[in-house]
Amino acid sequence: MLQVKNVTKCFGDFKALDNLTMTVPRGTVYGLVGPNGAGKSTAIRLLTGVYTPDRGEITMDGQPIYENTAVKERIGYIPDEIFYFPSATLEDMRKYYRGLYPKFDDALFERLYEIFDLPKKTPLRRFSKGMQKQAAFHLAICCRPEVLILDEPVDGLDPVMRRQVWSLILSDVAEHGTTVLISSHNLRELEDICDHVGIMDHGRMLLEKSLADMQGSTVKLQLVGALPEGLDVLHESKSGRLATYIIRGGAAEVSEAVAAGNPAYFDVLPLSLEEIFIYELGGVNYEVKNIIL
Amino acid sequence: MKSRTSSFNLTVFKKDLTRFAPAWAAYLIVLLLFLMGAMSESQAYYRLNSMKDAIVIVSWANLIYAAVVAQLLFGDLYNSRLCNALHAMPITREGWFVTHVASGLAFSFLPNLFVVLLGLPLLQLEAGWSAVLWWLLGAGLQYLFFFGAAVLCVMLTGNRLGQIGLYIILNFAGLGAWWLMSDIYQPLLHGIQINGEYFYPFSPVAEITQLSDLLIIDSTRIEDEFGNFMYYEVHGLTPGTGWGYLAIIALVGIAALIGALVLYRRRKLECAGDLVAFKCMEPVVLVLVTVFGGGFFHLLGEMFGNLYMKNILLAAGALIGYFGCRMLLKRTTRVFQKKAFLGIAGIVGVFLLTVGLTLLDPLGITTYMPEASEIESVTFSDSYSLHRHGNQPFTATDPADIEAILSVHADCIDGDAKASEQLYPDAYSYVSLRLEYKLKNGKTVNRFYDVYPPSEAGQILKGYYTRFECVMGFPEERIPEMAGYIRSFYTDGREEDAYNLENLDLEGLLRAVAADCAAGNMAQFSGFHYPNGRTIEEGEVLDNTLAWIELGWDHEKMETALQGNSGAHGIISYTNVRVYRSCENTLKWLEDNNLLTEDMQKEMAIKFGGPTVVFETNIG
Repeated sequence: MLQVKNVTKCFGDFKALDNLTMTVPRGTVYGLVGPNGAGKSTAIRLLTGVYTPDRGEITMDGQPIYENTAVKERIGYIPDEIFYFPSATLEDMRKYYRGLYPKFDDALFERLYEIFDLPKKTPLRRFSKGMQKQAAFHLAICCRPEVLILDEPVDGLDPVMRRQVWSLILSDVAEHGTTVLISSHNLRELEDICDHVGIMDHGRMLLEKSLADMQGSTVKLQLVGALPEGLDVLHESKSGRLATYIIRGGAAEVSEAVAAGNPAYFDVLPLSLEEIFIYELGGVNYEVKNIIL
Repeated sequence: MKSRTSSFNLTVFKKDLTRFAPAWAAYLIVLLLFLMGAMSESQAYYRLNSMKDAIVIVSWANLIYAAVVAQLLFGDLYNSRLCNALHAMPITREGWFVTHVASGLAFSFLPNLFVVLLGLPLLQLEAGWSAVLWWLLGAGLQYLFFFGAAVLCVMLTGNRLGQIGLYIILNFAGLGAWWLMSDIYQPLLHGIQINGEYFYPFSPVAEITQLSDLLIIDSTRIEDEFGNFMYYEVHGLTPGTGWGYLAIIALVGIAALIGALVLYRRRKLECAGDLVAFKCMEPVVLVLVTVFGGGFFHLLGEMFGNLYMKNILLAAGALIGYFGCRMLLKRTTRVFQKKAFLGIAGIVGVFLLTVGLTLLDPLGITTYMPEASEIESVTFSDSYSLHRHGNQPFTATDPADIEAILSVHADCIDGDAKASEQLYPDAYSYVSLRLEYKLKNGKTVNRFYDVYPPSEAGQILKGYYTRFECVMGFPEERIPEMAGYIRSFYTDGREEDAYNLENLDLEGLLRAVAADCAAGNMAQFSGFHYPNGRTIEEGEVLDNTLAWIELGWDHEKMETALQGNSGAHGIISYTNVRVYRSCENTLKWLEDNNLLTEDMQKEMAIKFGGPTVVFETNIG
């Protein structure tokens, strides 16, 4: 389990993380979402032991991550900007990773050549951005990590390759119980693969739940008639007589409350992750209030 | 068991060696050039000598190479992408550090080892293994310092520009401070010259290149049956002076590496790209760059040779340095706030305060003169003395001589040793005087002045400088002995080989010089021989020198004879003597030996028998 407890991180006068607390349960696929500048990448750099927090603690299974090789050996990391040595080939990088990660799986590395179909002897700098991303997955997965931390992982990959990568990750989760933390702006894709989601803004965690809980705790209500009092409305918009409300609460609970008022028409719909993201942030003055879905 | 890196990682080490192979290959080529230079010598002694000198010269290559290596190995700290990716890997910072330092040391040791092992058979050195080991030790100690300093600079800075700048400042801080003191403060202190020797040790590359006696070649001088030198037979090498200094700087290098590790552990990796890695360094860097900027522009002012222009450039350079540095520190051009101007005002204020204090001289340094009773001896010389050109140093221990020199010193302080009006260009008008008092309490006092030859002080000096020991560097009584040590003789009118000394009465030459000294005509500075007291007429030649003679001495015998004070290195040391128109005895000797050119003879207005110019004096 990855745990971030009351972590604050400043860059000069700028507070990138403000008392952040988050928990990534073992064996889950955790989607970390938030607007630009929310502090996702900083949180990831703290979770990978690159940065040290100004305050608070970051642990994996109770062990600190920073400067702890025993823990870091169990973490695979694909940053948003991939790095390779300038003239290195994939085989060179394989040797390098093999020397650093004790559980590096050479057999799997050979097998993955069939999936990714990457050239062995071509310098990685000659690869396209997508191919470089594939190479990063190729290497990271072969480290046999218990935790895989991915920052914008499929950015630059074509749709087919995106599917292939996600399926690879999910099969790894299924086979080895790998914990995956993904930071991405592509919420539709996250919705398909994540079971836990954390929404960050201004260096804080706004909401952290399982996706099922999250989708069950906020609903979209389409209503012709009067809205009963006592509902926690995150957003409302009107088109003619039809009003659309985003309401915090379970579908059954909202339906019951609305039905009690005998409206001319109402329908309670589940929200997509993208909608939850937008309306939750809208509640903290994020400039999305006027976005019409 | 695969590596679980905590201190050293073989994979990273191997990667370092292969990834940066072009750097050490280039260094290897430089070392091979030194080897080829040594191979070009025909005799083993000179090959060994060349190799010995190369240990010193290679410090310049090490200076640059160490900085390059440190930047290559630790350069990921300057690039946030690399930095983040690498530091997410399961290696501790100690692991990265120790491995990169091991790689950095191997980058120097391996090419040096290769070159010396290759040199062993190629150079056919009698002292082969000893030379190899001394080379490795010398190069290793130097490199340890430079590499340590370079790595420390990497840890203190956040980008390449910062590292290069700090490395230059650290390595040349001593020279820079000396230059600053001698160019800005020294002119304000009449009679004081700031000795660079105190500053050189703080600029190791400069100090190392001064270590000429790092190794001494044990050799036997082989002579032919006539006593002429043939070659040196080499027996081995022994360490000379200088190793202590190399050991100290190597220790400093190790301390710098330890300091770098401590800084690395505290480094916040997000500083990648910033000028400095630690915010507390900003004011220090700001002051250093301001001083450096001012100093550098002041130095450029030398091109104009104008004090006002130099001062304007000093101010401009300081401003550019200060605001330029602020821009780099803040990573913005918007640095012209009130706070920034207060900062530069503070720096200027401190500078003006130091200048003011120097001018006011509250400690009375410039007017200090030791009491005669405190003085054990006083040595005086002109600036050329150390090169055995011009007047040789004269050491006075006799109370009367000391009193005379003190009166010269007093005139220099009071300004009486200056000309009342400028008759000639400065370079011709003044004789430089260096006074070195050895006091009975063991202290030494040095003063430096320019003395106008016609002044009373100048005439006192002339009286000393015309003595034979001041002209030749040894007393007149030793003429017969010293004449036997002459190995070459050259003068303008001599066409034969300078080493052919047959049919030359060199003892006679020395006696002729002694006679001119006794006549008071041999003071080795043209200013003593000018038509003083009147301005120079158009077309008049200032220099009264009619001929030059150059005597080459057997260096070893000269060293023994003068108790290590021959003032030169090599097989032969030389003494140059100006022969003025008034030196009739020496000119007569040259005439007798057909060594005067036709031009010289024409220039002589009359035949030998008296001085050609009537010297006017304008004392007081």
